[in-house]
Amino acid sequence: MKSNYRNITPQAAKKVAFCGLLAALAIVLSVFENMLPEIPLLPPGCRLGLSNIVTMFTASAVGLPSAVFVAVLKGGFAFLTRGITAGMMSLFGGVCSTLVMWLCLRSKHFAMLGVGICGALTHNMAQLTVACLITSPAVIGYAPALILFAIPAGAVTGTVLRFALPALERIAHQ
Amino acid sequence: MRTESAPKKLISPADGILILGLVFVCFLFFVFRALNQPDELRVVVEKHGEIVYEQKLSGDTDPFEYTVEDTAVVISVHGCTVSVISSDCPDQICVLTGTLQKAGDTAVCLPNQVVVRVLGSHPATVDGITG
Amino acid sequence: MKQSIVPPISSKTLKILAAVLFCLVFALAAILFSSWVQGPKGKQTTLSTYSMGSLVQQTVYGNQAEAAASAASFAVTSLENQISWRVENSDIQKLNAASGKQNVPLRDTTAKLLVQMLDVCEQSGGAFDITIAPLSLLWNFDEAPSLPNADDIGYFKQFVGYENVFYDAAHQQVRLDLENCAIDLGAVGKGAACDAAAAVYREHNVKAAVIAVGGSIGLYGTKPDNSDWNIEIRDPNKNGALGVLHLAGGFISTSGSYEKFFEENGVLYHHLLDPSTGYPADSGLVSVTVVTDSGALSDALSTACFVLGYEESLPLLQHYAADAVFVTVNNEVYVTSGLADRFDITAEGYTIQ
Repeated sequence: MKSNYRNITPQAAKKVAFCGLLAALAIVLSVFENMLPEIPLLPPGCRLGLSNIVTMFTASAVGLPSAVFVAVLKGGFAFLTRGITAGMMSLFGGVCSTLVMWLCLRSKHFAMLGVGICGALTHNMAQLTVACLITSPAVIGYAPALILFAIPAGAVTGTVLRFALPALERIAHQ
Repeated sequence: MRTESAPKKLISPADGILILGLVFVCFLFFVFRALNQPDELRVVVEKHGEIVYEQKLSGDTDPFEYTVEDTAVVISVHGCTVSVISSDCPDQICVLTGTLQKAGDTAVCLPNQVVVRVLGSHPATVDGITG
Repeated sequence: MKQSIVPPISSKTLKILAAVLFCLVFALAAILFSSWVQGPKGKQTTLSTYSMGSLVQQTVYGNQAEAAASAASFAVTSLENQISWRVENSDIQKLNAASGKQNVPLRDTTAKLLVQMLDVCEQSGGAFDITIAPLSLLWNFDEAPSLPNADDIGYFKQFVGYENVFYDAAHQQVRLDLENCAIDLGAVGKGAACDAAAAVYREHNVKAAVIAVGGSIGLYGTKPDNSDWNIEIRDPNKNGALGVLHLAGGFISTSGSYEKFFEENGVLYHHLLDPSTGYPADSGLVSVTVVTDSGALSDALSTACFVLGYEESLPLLQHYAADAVFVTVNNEVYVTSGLADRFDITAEGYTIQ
């Protein structure tokens, strides 16, 4: 009997499983950073962006579609646990920053710090836009603080990944 | 896909430009915000809780009088100061309040439900007045 | 996994993608920037209405600001209709009409307020007395104040006494045991209105709000910039401010002899009567400002403290964990410990003790 299903290659299965793992990791990181106390002077809900490490890694080691997938899952988790506002913010922030980080990774000009900073910056700006649309234009007042904060936050994620990436990729390709 | 043989460096010249650019943008934000605070006074007259008259106060305008519509409350605007000069209310508290000149100064005529305030562009430093 | 089926992207496509992204980011920045220029003040509404013979001013911060402000204004008017002896069919008017006769049922709000006020009457030893109505009507500060003769004062004084108020908690009813005894909650109505507004703000999940009913102020929540609330105390002797209170929250009321007074034969008579003498209180104070966690309480305490004077007010304030700023006739200013580093005096001519 001819099978109507395309055979699922072991590689594809591995990929799906790995993505699931990465998504879980991104979610764990976002849950963890949400438990940390709020940073003064910054808008409530502003976080370190540790999950960017995961999406950045996925974008570089696996591929853009998988990375976006991880970001979407993270946003979905935020929606289920923290409500629609948090979900929208996480979704837009995650997807936009993943796209930008993927581009930066491909670019010759930007090194890991730049990738991390661009990711953090895009994440913050996308979240600010959502917040602005949902509440009021007045939240724009936070923009300078968010931009400044993106620099160290992005630098941290970029640095972490720079040193973890070779090791992680070796593990991923076994 | 990026090749594995050429791992990305930690920092590059473009990164440096990016950081400097962002810092500069923030700097512009703050400068803009600081400059965008003209110290303008204006007089606002409210009747029954709604604004019926608003006028910028500056040293150049000639003195003039304004009667709040449908009332006998008359205010006099002289340069950067305002005062209620006449009213038909029994207690004349509004008239007795005297000259309003700083942002936040207010004269109230309860029987006519008229409030005359002087406001500045800076947000009020006082949230309420008791006493 | 590295053997991706997707062909590598050409540098040309990359450049185009980058250009598109740049335009998107730029558009985003432009939108954000133009909105930002409007000012980072947050959603804020101010509303001025008139109730209880005063100007009611609110500033409300939060998403439902306008709805909350309207609802609070309505709540203030409803409260007035319930507790003002001037309003026909109000609980208090009915109570006063039935003095010496029968029990009168009270609505929840009135009952709660009455119980709270009776407690202050007792704790203040009668310095604050809600049954002072017969005397206040005699002096008539609200309309045409004049000096009553001593016989009249003596006569009406006999009807004043909070011990004549009998409260039946089980049935939420009150009886005035003495005919011609009457309750006037006018002294605390404004503070009670602030309490009612605070309840409305809570229901509407308001972020922060300040309501001023005449000189009684209620603070709710935290301001958007997380700073303290700045409340100015009026200078009792001249135009302008005595100083500014920096508060995290609370309700503020002031009783001052300068608010309502008249002069006859060179003597100044003000509206804060001492229930034990029937005459304006002579306690050495010109004003006292009380800060505590309830509006009605702050109103009652400010009246009580004015009658009691500085020294005797201290135990009363301690009992209610309230704080106050006192100004004496000798231009001395006393600040209780809770407000010590929260009050900045700005007027000249006063000595802080």
